[in-house]
Amino acid sequence: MRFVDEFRSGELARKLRRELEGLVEPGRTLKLMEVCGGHTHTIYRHGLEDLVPAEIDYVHGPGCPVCVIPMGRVDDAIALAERPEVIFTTFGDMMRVPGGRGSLLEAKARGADVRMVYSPLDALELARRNPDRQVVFFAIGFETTAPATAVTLLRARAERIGNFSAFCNHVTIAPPLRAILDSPGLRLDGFIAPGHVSTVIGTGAYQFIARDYRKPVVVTAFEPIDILHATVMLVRQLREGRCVVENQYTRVVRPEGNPRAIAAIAETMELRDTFEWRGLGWIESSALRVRPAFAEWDAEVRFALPGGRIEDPKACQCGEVLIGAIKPWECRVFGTACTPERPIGTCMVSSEGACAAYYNYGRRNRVPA
Amino acid sequence: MCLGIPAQLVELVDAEAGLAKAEISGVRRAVSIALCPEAEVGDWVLVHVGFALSRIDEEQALETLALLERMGEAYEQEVRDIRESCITCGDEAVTARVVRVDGATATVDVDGEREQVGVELVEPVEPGDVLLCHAGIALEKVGAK
Amino acid sequence: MRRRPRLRDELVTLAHGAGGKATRALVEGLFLEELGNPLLAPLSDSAVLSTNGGGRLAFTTDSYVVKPLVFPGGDIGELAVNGTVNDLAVVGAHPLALSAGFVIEEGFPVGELRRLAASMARAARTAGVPVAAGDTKVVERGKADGLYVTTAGVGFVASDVELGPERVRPGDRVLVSGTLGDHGLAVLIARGELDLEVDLESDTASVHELASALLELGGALRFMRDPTRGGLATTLNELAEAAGFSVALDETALPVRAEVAGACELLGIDPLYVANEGKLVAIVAPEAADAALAALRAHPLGRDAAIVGEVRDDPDALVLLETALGGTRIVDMLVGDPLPRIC
Repeated sequence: MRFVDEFRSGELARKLRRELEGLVEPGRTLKLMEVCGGHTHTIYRHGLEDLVPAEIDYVHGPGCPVCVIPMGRVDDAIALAERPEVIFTTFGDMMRVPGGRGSLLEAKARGADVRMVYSPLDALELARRNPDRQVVFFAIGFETTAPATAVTLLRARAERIGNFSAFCNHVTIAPPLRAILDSPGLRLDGFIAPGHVSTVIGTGAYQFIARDYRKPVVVTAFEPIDILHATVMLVRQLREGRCVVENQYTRVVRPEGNPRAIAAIAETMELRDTFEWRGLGWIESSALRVRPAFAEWDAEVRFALPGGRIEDPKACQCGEVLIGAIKPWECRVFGTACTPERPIGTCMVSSEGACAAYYNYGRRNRVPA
Repeated sequence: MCLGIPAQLVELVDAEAGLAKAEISGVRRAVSIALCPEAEVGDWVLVHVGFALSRIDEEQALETLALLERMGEAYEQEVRDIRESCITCGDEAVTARVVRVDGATATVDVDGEREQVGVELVEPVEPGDVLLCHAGIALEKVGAK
Repeated sequence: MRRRPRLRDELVTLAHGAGGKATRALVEGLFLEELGNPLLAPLSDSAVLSTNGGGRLAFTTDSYVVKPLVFPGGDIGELAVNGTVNDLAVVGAHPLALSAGFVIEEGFPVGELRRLAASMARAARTAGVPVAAGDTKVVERGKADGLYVTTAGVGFVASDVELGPERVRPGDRVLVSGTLGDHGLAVLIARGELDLEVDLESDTASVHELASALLELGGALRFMRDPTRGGLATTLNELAEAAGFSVALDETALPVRAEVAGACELLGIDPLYVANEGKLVAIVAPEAADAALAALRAHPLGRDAAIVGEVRDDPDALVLLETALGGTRIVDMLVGDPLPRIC
């Protein structure tokens, strides 16, 4: 696979490892946070923690847009799915996320018409083919995925497809980063910034981290070699006392991002005043909703939703895991009450969540927080 | 969820609707190029949930790989430097000709360079003797002048 | 020793049919609990029964609910024959006969049914096993989704055959008879929901001859399994637990077709969890590994056979993957169901 295999080369991994060995200060741990489920997944899937010197500690931040959806919103999704006229479409990742009343998978078992799609365009196609049903698309994801929903809304309007709507739960990357950086007692040395979000929003969006919080940032691609490369770049910045936003993903990310994608989002969506993030609480201007001009395709306008709010279970320590204050296994319910099959909290819910990734792939390595 | 896959555009299906076919390892899928309309058949693009988000810059990819190839070289160069700075410190045994003897230490010549080696194991030695040395110690006499 | 999983769900979900953790919870927490007996307890591919005459019989059953009924490389009929023959073959049995039960939906085209029956006949002839008994039921329109088939099989186990997880030893090698993930993906793509175009066929086949070739190794052959639902990962996890040892896989040795790798990459699925219907996994003593590989490769179905890992003395009893990069990660039991109704 082109542009993939080259960035999984064992030989390059060894070179990068040697480079890191030469750069780190023995005994001085560096905590590098990544905020993207894709990065968490790569680190675990390829066993990167085994490869880097002990001084490098990867911390997994709140980068999984599936994990941070509040339980109340999942219940809203289930309420929509249970309406007999609705075909509820969703990405596979959301199927097992538990709300207060179980998951979409369980709702499907009870008879709800829930269907997995790969793209919002597939959902739109379902709407074209089933004119007597209402097709709702569960729109989740950061700025990476929002443009896809945006283009689908534009197409729905252009083709006057009246039986399609989106249940918008898109979130933005910068506010939770700021929330983490503002956490008292936080100890982080640098950021591995999400490569695909940056494809859309560009690299300037992270300037505030370097400028206001004095932490180096490297926008990173998703193969294991890319993450090792970004690690080298961050350690070099730290050694040289530099503090800037660098781009490791030069083969895809342009500094200005994708203006067309940004414009599509701007045309169809607007920022909510505030939005609740599981594990992080309410964050201002951190999520998107469908604009009034597109109300016809907004599931929240078309359907009355319960709109309830559900407290996270008391035992849940996701908030602390998300900012890297504790490691997954240090959570009191990790692996016992909270497992991938029966997740309590957001970090265990998606296979890209820190706890799930650790449980599934890495549970033999234990390096304390 | 962050799944972005590099795929190659192999067919333009509907220019107006912005639909194309992308291929990875023989697998083809319809993708929308609405967000990336400048992409042409033959270009490599990043595909996420059925949309091409960006063209992949092959030159940049090659540059990145070339840069990475050179990594670890500084370390390897350092290792080479260390080895060359002490000709008898390497893993191999080196042949050296005795120039001068001072008690249990001899000054030897290896390809024009001078080193000191211990000769306790091969005594007595004389100038002109050829010794097999390793880690600063002469292990064997290999022949007289 | 592992705790038997407790079944806490109130409703059966698709995850219970995936072959992973939920399936195990259902089987062990409900069926084994209610039906439990020493013959069923090993939960092997086939039960081995002793007879009054002293010979041993292998006995097995499987239901086929694959959707769509016809897919590139095969159909439900072929699958039903090969799947059950394979379950007999991997416990070292010589298949004697099959039975076939059909649950047919009202309105199902007779022509289609005949085609599928003919396909079954062809598969049975190729495997050298007759369908000796059967049953037919018809249910109202809207039930049975076209057709469900259940086959049972019986076979003869020679007295010198001793296979099982208890025979596995640290140092033993893990072999697979060919490429991984072909069937599951072929079916998924044939469903047409994901709009993928690719040249992929199911690998459905009878592995009876491959198994026979390996049985020639005698005591050096420890264990065999066909990695169907849940893929190689699930099969090896079950083995690791039953044997009490870990299994370490070499990522670079796993045979996966480029198209399967590409499709899995695109869909975010791991080929280790995707069903195979014409492959076997064998655990052999290290000194016999090369001979086993040669025996498999000598057969057309075993062309792409490979030694993919080894058994390690480790009470954690995990499946580990040594990545191409040099790191290690755990290959856990499947959770959830990435690909429903694959078999």
